Amino acid sequence: MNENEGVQLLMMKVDGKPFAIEVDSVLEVLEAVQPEEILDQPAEIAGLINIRGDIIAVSSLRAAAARHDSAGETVSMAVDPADRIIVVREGEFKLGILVDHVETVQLYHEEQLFAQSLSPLAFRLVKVTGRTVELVDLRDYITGYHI
Amino acid sequence: MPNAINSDNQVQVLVFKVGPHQACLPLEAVIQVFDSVSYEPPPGSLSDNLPGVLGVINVRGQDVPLVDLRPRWNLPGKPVSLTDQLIVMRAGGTTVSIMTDQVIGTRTYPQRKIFPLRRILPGEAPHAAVAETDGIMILFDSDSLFSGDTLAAFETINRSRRHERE
Repeated sequence: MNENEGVQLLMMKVDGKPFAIEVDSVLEVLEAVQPEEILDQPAEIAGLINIRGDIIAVSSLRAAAARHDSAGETVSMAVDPADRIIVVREGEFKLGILVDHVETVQLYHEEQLFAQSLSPLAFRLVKVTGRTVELVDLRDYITGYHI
Repeated sequence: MPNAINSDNQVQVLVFKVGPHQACLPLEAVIQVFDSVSYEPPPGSLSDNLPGVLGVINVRGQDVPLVDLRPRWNLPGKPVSLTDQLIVMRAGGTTVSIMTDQVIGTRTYPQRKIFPLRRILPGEAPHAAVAETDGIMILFDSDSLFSGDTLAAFETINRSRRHERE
Protein backbone atom coordinates (compact mmCIF):
# COMPACT_ATOMS: atom_id res chain seq x y z
CA MET A 1 0.00 0.00 0.00
CA ASN A 2 1.26 3.41 -0.93
CA GLU A 3 0.81 6.09 1.73
CA ASN A 4 -0.23 8.73 -0.75
CA GLU A 5 -2.11 6.70 -3.27
CA GLY A 6 -3.97 4.45 -0.86
CA VAL A 7 -5.05 0.96 -1.74
CA GLN A 8 -7.59 -0.36 -4.19
CA LEU A 9 -9.80 -3.04 -2.74
CA LEU A 10 -12.33 -5.29 -4.42
CA MET A 11 -15.32 -5.44 -2.11
CA MET A 12 -17.38 -8.61 -1.72
CA LYS A 13 -19.94 -10.20 0.56
CA VAL A 14 -20.61 -13.62 2.05
CA ASP A 15 -23.75 -14.19 4.10
CA GLY A 16 -24.22 -10.43 4.13
CA LYS A 17 -20.84 -9.81 5.75
CA PRO A 18 -18.36 -7.54 3.98
CA PHE A 19 -14.89 -8.62 2.88
CA ALA A 20 -12.25 -7.06 0.67
CA ILE A 21 -9.17 -8.12 -1.25
CA GLU A 22 -6.38 -6.08 -2.76
CA VAL A 23 -7.10 -5.61 -6.44
CA ASP A 24 -3.46 -6.21 -7.32
CA SER A 25 -3.83 -9.88 -6.41
CA VAL A 26 -7.01 -10.41 -8.43
CA LEU A 27 -6.69 -11.98 -11.86
CA GLU A 28 -10.33 -12.22 -12.81
CA VAL A 29 -13.85 -12.64 -11.50
CA LEU A 30 -15.93 -15.50 -12.88
CA GLU A 31 -19.55 -16.46 -12.73
CA ALA A 32 -19.73 -19.46 -10.43
CA VAL A 33 -19.60 -22.94 -11.88
CA GLN A 34 -19.97 -26.13 -9.90
CA PRO A 35 -16.43 -27.15 -8.89
CA GLU A 36 -15.40 -30.77 -9.38
CA GLU A 37 -15.31 -32.32 -5.92
CA ILE A 38 -12.35 -34.47 -5.05
CA LEU A 39 -11.94 -37.47 -2.80
CA ASP A 40 -11.22 -36.58 0.86
CA GLN A 41 -11.63 -32.94 -0.03
CA PRO A 42 -9.68 -30.64 2.27
CA ALA A 43 -11.74 -28.45 4.58
CA GLU A 44 -12.66 -25.11 2.97
CA ILE A 45 -12.00 -26.42 -0.54
CA ALA A 46 -15.14 -26.49 -2.67
CA GLY A 47 -13.44 -28.36 -5.51
CA LEU A 48 -11.50 -27.78 -8.69
CA ILE A 49 -12.33 -25.75 -11.77
CA ASN A 50 -10.87 -25.74 -15.23
CA ILE A 51 -10.12 -22.25 -16.53
CA ARG A 52 -9.04 -22.45 -20.12
CA GLY A 53 -7.08 -25.63 -19.41
CA ASP A 54 -5.68 -24.36 -16.13
CA ILE A 55 -6.76 -26.41 -13.10
CA ILE A 56 -7.22 -24.36 -9.95
CA ALA A 57 -8.65 -25.09 -6.52
CA VAL A 58 -11.66 -23.15 -5.29
CA SER A 59 -11.79 -22.20 -1.63
CA SER A 60 -15.00 -21.23 0.13
CA LEU A 61 -14.79 -17.84 1.82
CA ARG A 62 -17.79 -18.85 3.91
CA ALA A 63 -15.83 -21.82 5.29
CA ALA A 64 -12.73 -19.69 5.86
CA ALA A 65 -14.82 -17.15 7.78
CA ALA A 66 -16.35 -19.91 9.92
CA ARG A 67 -12.86 -21.15 10.79
CA HIS A 68 -11.63 -17.65 11.50
CA ASP A 69 -14.60 -17.01 13.77
CA SER A 70 -14.08 -20.42 15.42
CA ALA A 71 -17.70 -21.14 14.67
CA GLY A 72 -16.95 -24.82 14.22
CA GLU A 73 -20.18 -25.27 12.32
CA THR A 74 -20.67 -27.32 9.19
CA VAL A 75 -20.64 -24.90 6.29
CA SER A 76 -22.55 -25.48 3.09
CA MET A 77 -20.34 -25.76 0.03
CA ALA A 78 -23.33 -25.51 -2.28
CA VAL A 79 -22.80 -23.18 -5.22
CA ASP A 80 -25.56 -20.79 -6.21
CA PRO A 81 -25.70 -19.57 -9.81
CA ALA A 82 -25.48 -16.01 -8.51
CA ASP A 83 -22.20 -16.71 -6.69
CA ARG A 84 -18.88 -15.52 -8.03
CA ILE A 85 -15.39 -16.98 -8.08
CA ILE A 86 -12.56 -14.50 -7.61
CA VAL A 87 -9.35 -15.87 -9.09
CA VAL A 88 -6.33 -14.58 -7.18
CA ARG A 89 -2.63 -15.03 -7.60
CA GLU A 90 0.00 -15.55 -4.93
CA GLY A 91 3.33 -15.91 -6.68
CA GLU A 92 3.04 -18.81 -9.11
CA PHE A 93 0.00 -20.14 -7.30
CA LYS A 94 -3.60 -19.38 -8.28
CA LEU A 95 -6.66 -19.90 -6.14
CA GLY A 96 -10.36 -19.35 -6.73
CA ILE A 97 -12.35 -17.86 -3.87
CA LEU A 98 -16.07 -18.58 -3.82
CA VAL A 99 -18.16 -15.62 -2.62
CA ASP A 100 -21.84 -14.70 -2.65
CA HIS A 101 -21.49 -11.34 -4.28
CA VAL A 102 -18.82 -9.08 -5.75
CA GLU A 103 -19.39 -5.37 -5.42
CA THR A 104 -17.12 -2.57 -6.63
CA VAL A 105 -13.47 -1.63 -6.49
CA GLN A 106 -12.92 1.12 -3.95
CA LEU A 107 -9.91 3.26 -3.22
CA TYR A 108 -9.13 3.60 0.47
CA HIS A 109 -6.66 5.94 2.14
CA GLU A 110 -5.22 5.29 5.57
CA GLU A 111 -7.61 7.57 7.41
CA GLN A 112 -10.58 6.00 5.66
CA LEU A 113 -9.42 2.52 6.62
CA PHE A 114 -8.85 3.64 10.17
CA ALA A 115 -12.36 5.10 10.32
CA GLN A 116 -13.71 1.84 8.87
CA SER A 117 -11.83 -0.18 11.46
CA LEU A 118 -13.73 1.55 14.25
CA SER A 119 -17.04 0.35 12.90
CA PRO A 120 -18.54 -2.90 14.19
CA LEU A 121 -19.44 -3.57 10.58
CA ALA A 122 -15.88 -3.16 9.34
CA PHE A 123 -14.90 -5.40 6.47
CA ARG A 124 -12.07 -7.91 6.76
CA LEU A 125 -9.22 -8.35 4.35
CA VAL A 126 -8.83 -11.59 2.43
CA LYS A 127 -5.26 -12.85 1.99
CA VAL A 128 -4.05 -16.02 0.28
CA THR A 129 -1.18 -17.54 2.21
CA GLY A 130 0.24 -21.01 1.86
CA ARG A 131 -2.58 -22.15 -0.46
CA THR A 132 -5.25 -21.21 2.05
CA VAL A 133 -7.46 -18.20 2.58
CA GLU A 134 -6.67 -16.10 5.62
CA LEU A 135 -8.74 -13.25 7.00
CA VAL A 136 -7.09 -10.16 8.43
CA ASP A 137 -8.90 -7.69 10.65
CA LEU A 138 -8.70 -4.17 9.33
CA ARG A 139 -6.69 -2.88 12.31
CA ASP A 140 -4.11 -5.62 11.85
CA TYR A 141 -4.02 -4.83 8.14
CA ILE A 142 -3.36 -1.15 8.81
CA THR A 143 -0.71 -1.97 11.42
CA GLY A 144 0.90 -4.68 9.35
CA TYR A 145 1.26 -2.53 6.30
CA HIS A 146 2.01 0.66 8.24
CA ILE A 147 0.18 2.99 5.94
CA MET B 1 2.20 -45.82 -7.28
CA PRO B 2 4.04 -43.79 -9.89
CA ASN B 3 1.91 -43.61 -12.98
CA ALA B 4 3.03 -46.03 -15.63
CA ILE B 5 4.56 -44.02 -18.41
CA ASN B 6 5.24 -45.67 -21.72
CA SER B 7 8.03 -44.78 -24.09
CA ASP B 8 5.95 -42.00 -25.60
CA ASN B 9 5.52 -40.33 -22.19
CA GLN B 10 1.90 -41.34 -22.10
CA VAL B 11 -0.11 -42.72 -19.22
CA GLN B 12 -2.85 -45.28 -19.71
CA VAL B 13 -5.79 -45.05 -17.34
CA LEU B 14 -9.11 -46.77 -16.67
CA VAL B 15 -11.99 -44.30 -16.47
CA PHE B 16 -15.02 -44.92 -14.26
CA LYS B 17 -18.04 -43.13 -12.83
CA VAL B 18 -19.08 -42.83 -9.20
CA GLY B 19 -22.26 -40.78 -8.79
CA PRO B 20 -21.78 -37.53 -10.70
CA HIS B 21 -18.00 -37.87 -10.70
CA GLN B 22 -15.68 -39.28 -13.33
CA ALA B 23 -12.27 -40.42 -12.22
CA CYS B 24 -9.56 -42.78 -13.37
CA LEU B 25 -6.87 -45.14 -12.14
CA PRO B 26 -3.51 -45.98 -13.68
CA LEU B 27 -4.20 -49.01 -15.85
CA GLU B 28 -1.20 -50.83 -14.44
CA ALA B 29 -2.89 -50.87 -11.02
CA VAL B 30 -6.02 -52.54 -12.40
CA ILE B 31 -6.29 -56.32 -12.16
CA GLN B 32 -9.78 -56.96 -13.44
CA VAL B 33 -13.24 -55.47 -13.89
CA PHE B 34 -16.30 -57.42 -12.76
CA ASP B 35 -19.98 -56.86 -13.19
CA SER B 36 -21.85 -56.78 -9.93
CA VAL B 37 -21.17 -59.82 -7.72
CA SER B 38 -22.40 -60.97 -4.35
CA TYR B 39 -20.25 -60.26 -1.32
CA GLU B 40 -19.98 -61.36 2.28
CA PRO B 41 -19.69 -59.12 5.32
CA PRO B 42 -16.14 -58.23 6.31
CA PRO B 43 -14.62 -60.20 9.20
CA GLY B 44 -16.24 -58.98 12.41
CA SER B 45 -13.08 -57.74 14.07
CA LEU B 46 -12.24 -55.57 11.10
CA SER B 47 -15.60 -54.24 10.02
CA ASP B 48 -15.83 -51.51 12.67
CA ASN B 49 -12.51 -49.96 11.73
CA LEU B 50 -13.01 -49.91 7.99
CA PRO B 51 -15.51 -47.26 7.00
CA GLY B 52 -16.69 -47.66 3.45
CA VAL B 53 -15.88 -51.35 3.31
CA LEU B 54 -19.05 -53.10 2.17
CA GLY B 55 -17.74 -56.63 2.45
CA VAL B 56 -15.45 -59.20 0.94
CA ILE B 57 -15.56 -60.75 -2.51
CA ASN B 58 -13.83 -63.91 -3.63
CA VAL B 59 -11.46 -63.39 -6.54
CA ARG B 60 -10.02 -66.73 -7.61
CA GLY B 61 -9.92 -67.94 -4.01
CA GLN B 62 -8.55 -64.76 -2.53
CA ASP B 63 -10.59 -62.63 -0.16
CA VAL B 64 -10.67 -59.08 -1.45
CA PRO B 65 -12.29 -56.18 0.40
CA LEU B 66 -15.01 -54.33 -1.49
CA VAL B 67 -14.96 -50.59 -0.88
CA ASP B 68 -17.54 -47.90 -1.52
CA LEU B 69 -15.70 -44.61 -2.16
CA ARG B 70 -18.89 -42.54 -2.14
CA PRO B 71 -18.72 -41.36 1.48
CA ARG B 72 -15.25 -39.99 0.82
CA TRP B 73 -16.77 -37.97 -2.02
CA ASN B 74 -19.46 -36.57 0.28
CA LEU B 75 -22.02 -38.83 -1.35
CA PRO B 76 -24.36 -41.13 0.58
CA GLY B 77 -23.14 -44.73 0.66
CA LYS B 78 -25.16 -47.44 -1.01
CA PRO B 79 -25.15 -51.24 -1.38
CA VAL B 80 -24.02 -52.84 -4.62
CA SER B 81 -26.73 -52.87 -7.28
CA LEU B 82 -26.99 -55.13 -10.30
CA THR B 83 -25.81 -52.44 -12.70
CA ASP B 84 -22.67 -51.55 -10.74
CA GLN B 85 -19.21 -52.62 -11.82
CA LEU B 86 -16.32 -53.51 -9.55
CA ILE B 87 -12.68 -52.73 -10.22
CA VAL B 88 -10.20 -55.11 -8.63
CA MET B 89 -6.90 -53.30 -8.23
CA ARG B 90 -3.55 -53.22 -6.49
CA ALA B 91 -3.20 -50.56 -3.82
CA GLY B 92 -0.17 -50.26 -1.60
CA GLY B 93 0.78 -53.91 -1.98
CA THR B 94 -2.72 -55.20 -1.28
CA THR B 95 -5.58 -56.28 -3.49
CA VAL B 96 -8.81 -54.33 -3.13
CA SER B 97 -11.97 -53.80 -5.15
CA ILE B 98 -13.90 -50.57 -5.51
CA MET B 99 -17.54 -50.19 -6.45
CA THR B 100 -18.33 -47.95 -9.42
CA ASP B 101 -21.53 -47.04 -11.19
CA GLN B 102 -19.90 -47.74 -14.52
CA VAL B 103 -16.50 -48.47 -15.97
CA ILE B 104 -16.26 -46.32 -19.06
CA GLY B 105 -13.05 -47.59 -20.60
CA THR B 106 -9.41 -46.82 -21.09
CA ARG B 107 -7.83 -43.57 -22.13
CA THR B 108 -4.29 -42.43 -22.76
CA TYR B 109 -3.01 -39.09 -21.55
CA PRO B 110 0.30 -37.43 -22.33
CA GLN B 111 2.30 -37.06 -19.12
CA ARG B 112 2.41 -33.27 -19.58
CA LYS B 113 -1.39 -33.10 -19.20
CA ILE B 114 -1.30 -34.74 -15.77
CA PHE B 115 -1.34 -32.09 -13.07
CA PRO B 116 -0.31 -33.06 -9.50
CA LEU B 117 -2.86 -31.67 -7.06
CA ARG B 118 -0.22 -31.13 -4.37
CA ARG B 119 0.74 -28.02 -6.35
CA ILE B 120 -2.56 -26.33 -5.63
CA LEU B 121 -4.14 -27.97 -2.57
CA PRO B 122 -3.18 -27.52 1.07
CA GLY B 123 -2.00 -30.56 3.01
CA GLU B 124 -1.59 -34.04 1.61
CA ALA B 125 -2.83 -34.21 -1.96
CA PRO B 126 -1.47 -37.36 -3.57
CA HIS B 127 -3.78 -37.50 -6.57
CA ALA B 128 -3.61 -35.71 -9.91
CA ALA B 129 -6.01 -34.15 -12.36
CA VAL B 130 -6.33 -33.78 -16.10
CA ALA B 131 -8.03 -30.80 -17.72
CA GLU B 132 -10.59 -32.08 -20.22
CA THR B 133 -12.60 -30.04 -22.68
CA ASP B 134 -15.73 -30.78 -20.65
CA GLY B 135 -14.29 -30.51 -17.15
CA ILE B 136 -11.71 -32.18 -14.94
CA MET B 137 -10.72 -35.83 -14.60
CA ILE B 138 -9.24 -36.92 -11.27
CA LEU B 139 -6.42 -39.47 -11.58
CA PHE B 140 -6.00 -41.46 -8.38
CA ASP B 141 -2.64 -42.45 -7.01
CA SER B 142 -3.66 -46.04 -6.28
CA ASP B 143 -1.04 -46.48 -3.55
CA SER B 144 -2.30 -43.41 -1.69
CA LEU B 145 -5.99 -44.14 -2.03
CA PHE B 146 -6.13 -45.76 1.41
CA SER B 147 -4.35 -45.03 4.69
CA GLY B 148 -1.58 -47.26 6.03
CA ASP B 149 -3.89 -48.71 8.71
CA THR B 150 -6.56 -49.47 6.15
CA LEU B 151 -4.04 -51.15 3.84
CA ALA B 152 -2.84 -53.29 6.76
CA ALA B 153 -6.44 -54.39 7.38
CA PHE B 154 -6.87 -55.12 3.68
CA GLU B 155 -3.72 -57.23 3.79
CA THR B 156 -5.19 -59.20 6.69
CA ILE B 157 -8.35 -59.79 4.67
CA ASN B 158 -6.33 -60.80 1.59
CA ARG B 159 -4.53 -63.42 3.68
CA SER B 160 -7.58 -64.76 5.46
CA ARG B 161 -8.45 -67.20 2.67
CA ARG B 162 -11.75 -67.73 4.39
CA HIS B 163 -13.28 -69.28 1.31
CA GLU B 164 -10.64 -71.96 1.15
CA ARG B 165 -11.14 -72.87 4.80
CA GLU B 166 -14.85 -73.20 4.30
